[in-house]
Amino acid sequence: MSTEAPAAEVAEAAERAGSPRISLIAAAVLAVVVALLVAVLASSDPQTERQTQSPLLGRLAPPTEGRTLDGQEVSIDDYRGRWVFVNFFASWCIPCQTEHRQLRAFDEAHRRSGDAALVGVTYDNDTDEARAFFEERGGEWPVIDDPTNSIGVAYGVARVPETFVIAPDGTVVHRFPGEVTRKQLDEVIQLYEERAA
Amino acid sequence: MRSFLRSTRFRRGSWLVIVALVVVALVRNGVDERPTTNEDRVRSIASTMKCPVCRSQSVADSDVAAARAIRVEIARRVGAGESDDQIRDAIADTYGEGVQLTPRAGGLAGLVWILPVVAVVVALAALSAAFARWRRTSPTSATEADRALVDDALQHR
Amino acid sequence: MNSVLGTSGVVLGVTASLLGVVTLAVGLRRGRADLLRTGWSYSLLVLLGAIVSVVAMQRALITRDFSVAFVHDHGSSRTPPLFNVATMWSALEGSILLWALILAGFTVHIARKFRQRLSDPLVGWALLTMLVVCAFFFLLMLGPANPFTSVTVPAGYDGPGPNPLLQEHILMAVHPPMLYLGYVGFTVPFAFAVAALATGRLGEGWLIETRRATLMAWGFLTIGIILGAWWSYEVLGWGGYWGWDPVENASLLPWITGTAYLHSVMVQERRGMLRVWNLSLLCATFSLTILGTFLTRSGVLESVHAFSDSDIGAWLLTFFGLTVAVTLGLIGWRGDRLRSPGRIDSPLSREGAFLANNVLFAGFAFVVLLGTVFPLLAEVVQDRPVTVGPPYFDRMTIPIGIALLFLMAVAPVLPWRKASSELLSQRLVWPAWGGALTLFAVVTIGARGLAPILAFGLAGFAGGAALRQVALATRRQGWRGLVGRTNGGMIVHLGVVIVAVAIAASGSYVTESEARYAPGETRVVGGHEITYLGTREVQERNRLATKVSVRVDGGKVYEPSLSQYPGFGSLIGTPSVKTGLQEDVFLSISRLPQQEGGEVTLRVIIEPLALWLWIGGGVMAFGTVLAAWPGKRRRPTDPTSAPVAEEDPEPPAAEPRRPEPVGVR
Repeated sequence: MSTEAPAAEVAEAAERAGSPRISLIAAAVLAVVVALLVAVLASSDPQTERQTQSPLLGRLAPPTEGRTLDGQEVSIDDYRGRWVFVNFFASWCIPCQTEHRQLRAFDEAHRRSGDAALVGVTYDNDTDEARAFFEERGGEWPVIDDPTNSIGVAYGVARVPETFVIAPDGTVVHRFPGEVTRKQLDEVIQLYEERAA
Repeated sequence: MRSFLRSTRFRRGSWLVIVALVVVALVRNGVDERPTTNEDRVRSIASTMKCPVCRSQSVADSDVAAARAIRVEIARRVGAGESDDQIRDAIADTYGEGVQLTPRAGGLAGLVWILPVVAVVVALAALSAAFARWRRTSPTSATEADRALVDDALQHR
Repeated sequence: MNSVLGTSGVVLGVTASLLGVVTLAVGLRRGRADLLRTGWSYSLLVLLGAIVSVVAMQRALITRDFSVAFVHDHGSSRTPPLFNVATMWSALEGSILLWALILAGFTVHIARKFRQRLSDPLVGWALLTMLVVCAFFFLLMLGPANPFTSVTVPAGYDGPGPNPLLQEHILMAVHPPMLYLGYVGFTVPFAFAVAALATGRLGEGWLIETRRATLMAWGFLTIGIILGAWWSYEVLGWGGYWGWDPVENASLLPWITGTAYLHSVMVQERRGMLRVWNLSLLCATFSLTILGTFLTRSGVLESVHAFSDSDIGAWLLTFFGLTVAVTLGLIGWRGDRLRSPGRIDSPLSREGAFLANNVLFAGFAFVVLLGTVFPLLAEVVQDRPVTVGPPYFDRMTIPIGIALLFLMAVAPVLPWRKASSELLSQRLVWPAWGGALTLFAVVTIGARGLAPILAFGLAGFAGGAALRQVALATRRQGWRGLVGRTNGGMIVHLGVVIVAVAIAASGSYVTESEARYAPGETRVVGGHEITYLGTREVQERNRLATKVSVRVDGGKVYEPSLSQYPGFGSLIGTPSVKTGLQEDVFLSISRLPQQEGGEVTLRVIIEPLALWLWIGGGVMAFGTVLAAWPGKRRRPTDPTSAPVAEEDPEPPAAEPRRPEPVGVR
């Protein structure tokens, strides 16, 4: 207990060795690094608030074509000149079931006016189940059956439902992750048409 | 027997045999690396891509739809003869750079690779500098104060 | 009632710790021994406050008192009793409460252990530091992490229960307390480090006094980490046990610096060197526990454990900043005066090996920390997100791990001061045989890949070195040759070797298959017959489980399941594992049959030697107990390594040996 060397004597020893003030320098350097780290951490938003944008925005839409549930060949290129809404869904997904009614209303309105088209793409879904889904819930728009999910991967779909908006010139302009309403879809057209005007 | 095991002759021989064993094993490991199958490649690529909807799981480990879909896509591209980097780039192109679990070597992300190496080099340099200094200085001798301290301590134990 | 009781416990804890801090500070400043002696009563009061709060919380959980917000949010009448107790640490507020309880326990332990020396400023400062930390955690429970907020509940309300993932396995009941015992345990040496810096008294006396506490903290942290890995293996269903998730890294970081400290402190005890470095390691360990808690609890990083709905992040970050500022300030102010004038004669010596060990561990910690926070750093500079995932950590840490294994083989046979090559050749020959034969054997039976076979070979080498040490010590001292730090440490090394082998094998030689099975269909995966028998639904107390029956190798039936917990949206998959000494057969459900009698998609993973990971963890824990075992009090000047006179005569001492003032009390 009483043997612990008083600081002064140890200091003397250190001076004897003629060593530079390494601890002070190291502590100062570390302090700067940690201060920067704390500043970065303090300014970081919680992860949940970070929305990842799709890298597709502003690019031409990936090839989106195939056989529909009714057995016809369809491609979104057929709709060039119109707004195209590509909707990825699966019959087992609950938000897809709830947004279906909204999509129907949207599709019926724009089918008449002809300014926009809706194209469904199955995602991780059995053909038969998807077909049954449409038989039960209605909906007239073409639905591409994509058993290998290759279209979904080309769009970078993370979790169904997801809806991509493709401008009349064929570029992807907007991505809706999750459930959409008819109102949201209409607003997107309006927004981009205003911006273009 | 016991004395043989302790003899210098035995020890010398041992080291020769040990080195030979290690060399043979390493060479054998080097020569017949197993050929990689397409499945191995799919798995190795998938394990470097982040599952876009999971927390801290790779595409290889996750069972969610998106991970399965990306696995199928990787398999398709492997089958089409694309290189690992081409496939990674293609997936990152649609899902964003954030799906790459391995940061790229270039640019800002490259720092994450370089900094640890720099740190180790600096640490080793500091250590060798310290050893050089220690070699220059003679062992410190105890001062009278030190001796008094020790005597005091030994009396009080 | 419970709410009031709990809150009063917290208030008692806050008041007692704050008053204790003030009293001790005044006592230290004025040099009044009577004030310093009150530290004992204050720490008792803090513990009392913590106990009252924990009792209130447990009572609220057991009686399902949903008027307490925490029980309202995380309790449920359906939760089975054991998990109901564990619900306390299944969410943020309760885990802070557990933390406070353990911290108060350690504070009382220190106050009791040093009750004869409470008036000593060194002990005063240590106790003061502990009470400051206590005050912080109790204040958290008054501020952002209040577990006892009361809410009004409608009649007939039932809570959702704890997170389903945490209800799946018994390990969840023990893993967090173990981890916290480890985390919090490191507060003890940290407090003494601060005290040593503040008083400028660096005698090694306190090192020895707190040695057992430090060892136990390290042991608990080890157990906690291993149990966490085991839990994710048994519950998360992806077939792995370590995903370099931020929360896992957060538990690993203090373990790394703590391990580095346990090794380098021996240089200090023996040679009186590296004092400032050791203090810095202790400060780093403590700061990293706080930083880790911040990273995982504030939600800035994606993690399975993040609770992002609270402003606790700001508190933790502030406390981290303060801790670092104070400790760095102390080190900068005192450090250079405390440095010892000693020197290390040769890199090829025990102390040289410990230095190398510390460089490697520091590099290890740096890689893990950098990888964990790098996405946040990158985001500040650029818009594009950067992910740093398992492949990065694997590539960076595998070389470090292999270098550490090599060091583990060589270091235990190195003498202090200086080793001759003759001595090394003599002592290393048997361990080297072990390594070379292991390497040769694994390559012969078909193992390939440089990293894993090197790991096996070096594991044989390191295992041989540890066994040699244990064999020599037991031959000389009988059972006493197994206890004490050096010998117990060798048992820990054996545990590490087992863990390393298990990691290398299960990480490199996995066989995996994902396939559809019709009822009755059998497929062969990695030499195991997997037969799908059928699917059934089981209503359990807390969940609706869909179980898939799978027969493995024509023997026992295993049932991986998918469960729906009321109140939680997604299905929770539970794998089922056939455990074996050679390999595990890991079964999980990818997709249930879509209709009655349909095909199920099963994922089958064959993981060699996975069981040995947990066994190795057990050996490490056992070794820690042996290392902390109270032995004969060693005279500090006695040799600590195990020189065997007949085998390796010590080189004649050039200078007359004088006792060094080390560890004397």
